[in-house]
Order: sequence, then structure tokens, then C-alpha cells
Amino acid sequence: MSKRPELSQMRRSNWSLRIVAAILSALAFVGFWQAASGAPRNAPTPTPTPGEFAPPTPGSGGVLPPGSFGAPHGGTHVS
Amino acid sequence: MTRLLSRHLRGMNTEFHLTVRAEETSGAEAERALEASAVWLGEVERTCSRFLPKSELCALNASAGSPFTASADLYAVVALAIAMAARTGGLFDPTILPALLAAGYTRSFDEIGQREIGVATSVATSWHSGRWRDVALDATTRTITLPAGVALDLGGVAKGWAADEVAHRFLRAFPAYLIDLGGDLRAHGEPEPGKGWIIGVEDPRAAPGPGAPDRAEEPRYLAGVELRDSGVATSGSARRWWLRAGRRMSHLIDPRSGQPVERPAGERALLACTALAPSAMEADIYAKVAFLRGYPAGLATLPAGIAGLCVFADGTLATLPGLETYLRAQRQAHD
Repeated sequence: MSKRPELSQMRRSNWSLRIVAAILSALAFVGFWQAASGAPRNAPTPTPTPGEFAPPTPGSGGVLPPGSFGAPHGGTHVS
Repeated sequence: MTRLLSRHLRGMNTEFHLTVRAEETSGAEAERALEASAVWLGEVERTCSRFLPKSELCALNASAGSPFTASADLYAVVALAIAMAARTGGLFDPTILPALLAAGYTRSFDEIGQREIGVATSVATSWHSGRWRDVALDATTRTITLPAGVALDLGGVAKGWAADEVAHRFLRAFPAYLIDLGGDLRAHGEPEPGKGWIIGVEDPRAAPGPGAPDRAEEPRYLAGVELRDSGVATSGSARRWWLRAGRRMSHLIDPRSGQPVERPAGERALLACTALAPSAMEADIYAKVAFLRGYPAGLATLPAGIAGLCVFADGTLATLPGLETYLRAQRQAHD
């Protein structure tokens, strides 16, 4: 009779550990994903400051600063 | 060996530039495709312009209150415009025409741009926001029914839609092309191996003054973007404006108020928003939506897959990290 509560307690303890481990794993995965993607999903919407467009390196795949790209093939303007 | 073939033409009160990269052996085919594109763009203007009294759009507007059987092209662009009105919560609204007429935009921009038009040229109209919801469409019969008192202006969607259609109908067989319909662009492929199409974001402060041509001879660029499969368009109130009894009026109407967007003041005033999207049509519309929402909300609320850039009166720019992601994806897709 006395072993039943202990077994039950151990099972509960095991389950608690499993749940904690699962939560930690999930958090670790989210952290890894955020670090890998560079885009934290739950971060507040960033408020950029004017002039913010990096990296300013031609060919980097980013926005090209004026003077770095010569004559463009086309231009977009208020239409 | 490849080469770039270009065609320049004027339509919809602006300049069109079409460029195709063709193999040495397919030059004649490219020339035929450019010619067919030019002919079709003329047809689009005759269909969708509200400034041509005999256009199909004018006939549709005159039919308000009764069902109108439209051509395939007019039906397509109207259905798209109504769908985009729904997607943008009405911030893009093709039923804005009565508000444009009330602001004095009664003739083509060639006739009123950057000059005083007098108060008598406006047309008294009644306009209520959200009437796009009442436009009835029947795809099986291509029937459009405008409620009485509702009239459409397709100026905010037709060029972007036409750029996408030129790409799909006439140029898709070619490895690379750039379709520029008055600043609304659709780019595809690489004009030369390893390099995308470089598109300059023009400085809206270089917009001409009263009596000057619509466009500065030598545009100044504040930034550039390298595109390989994308649409891009810019919206703002700096270029297309006129004076009505001394008050500066913009072609850009805010559907929430029915009034032209006020002239921005101050060094930090938002002058223009550029949007990049999978299609020129989406870029065209979301550039307007971003501008109407203002900064930074206009950029922060762009849907997934669409990125933007804001230009301020002091010549600075702002964007969100999503634009860099968008541009990198353009590059990586071809690497």
C-alpha cells in the first residue's frame, strides 16, 4: 500500500521532468530558428530610423546607395 | 551572344519603355513581340482610359445602374481592381472617380498638370467610401453592374496590370525583359549573366514645377534595387498635382475622406513610397496604400512577400529589414 503513492509520485515526477524538458527543447529550437533566420518572430514591429538601408554595398543584394550603380536600366517614380 | 532590344512609346499620358534580352537568332522574334506589345498597350488605353470618350470604360461608367457586358480585358482589370479593394480594406478604391472629378481632375494630366485650372472645372459629385463593395461581377457572362452613381477610374491599377499582361502574353519566351509603363515596372531575368535589372528610385524632389513637363529630363536617383523577377512602383503626391483656386490638389485621393492627399510640409514629410511585389499590379497598388498609411505604418503593414521604401522631403530614405530579405531572395533565386 505504501509503494503506490511513491510510484504515482515518481510517475508524476517523471512526467513533470518530461514536460519541462519538452518546453526547454521547444524554447531552444525557437532560439535556434530565430538565430538562424535572423528574424525573431515575436519581436515587436521595428521602427526604423530615416536613412536606414543597409548594407550599402553594391552586389550585396541590398539597397544600392546613389552613385554606386551608374545608369540604371529603368527608374521608378511617382506615377 | 545576346543583345537587348528596346521599344519606346507614349501611352496613358506617360512614357513606356520595353526592353527584351534576345539571342542573336531570336532578334526578329523579339522585335515582333515588342511590336505586338505596343499594339496591345494601345488597345488597353482605348479600353481603360476615362479620358477617351469612346473608351469601353466610359461606356461602362455611363451604364451605371444597368448590367454591362465587358470585353475580356476590361472585365479582368475591373475584377482585379475590386479584388484589390477588398484585399486593402478599401485603401485602394477604383470607385474613386467622383472624388477625382470633384478635385478638378476632369481632363488628362497633360492638360492640367502643374497649373491653375480654376474652380469652375471641378464637377460637383457625391461620393461615399466603400461603394466598390456594391459593384456586381458575373465572370460567366463577363457582366459588370455598377450601382447608380458609381463610376470607375482604373488609373491606379491599369498600368501595373498591363505590365504583368505584357510579360505574360508577349515576352515570357525571352530569358529577360523589363517593362516600364510610366514608372510601374515588371522585371524578369538578367540583362547580362550574373546581373539583375538595376532600377533607380527617382528623387521625388526633382518633380517639375508649374508649366514644366511631367518629368525631369535627367532623373536623380536616391537609391537603386537589383531585380530579377519582380514588380516595382512608386506613389506619392509630389509629381502629379495641379492648382484649383490656388489650392494645390493631388491626383492621389484618400478613399477614407474622398479628399486629395494634402501637400506634405516640413523636412520630414513623406514624399513617396516605393513598393516591390511579385507583380507590377501589386506593387502599383501597395505603393499607394503604403503612402496613404504614412510612415512607418505604411511599411510595417505591407503583406508578406511585399516590401517597401519611403522617401522623405530631406532626401533620406527608410525601409524595414523585409526589403533586404526581398532583394536577397531575388538574387538567391538565380544563383
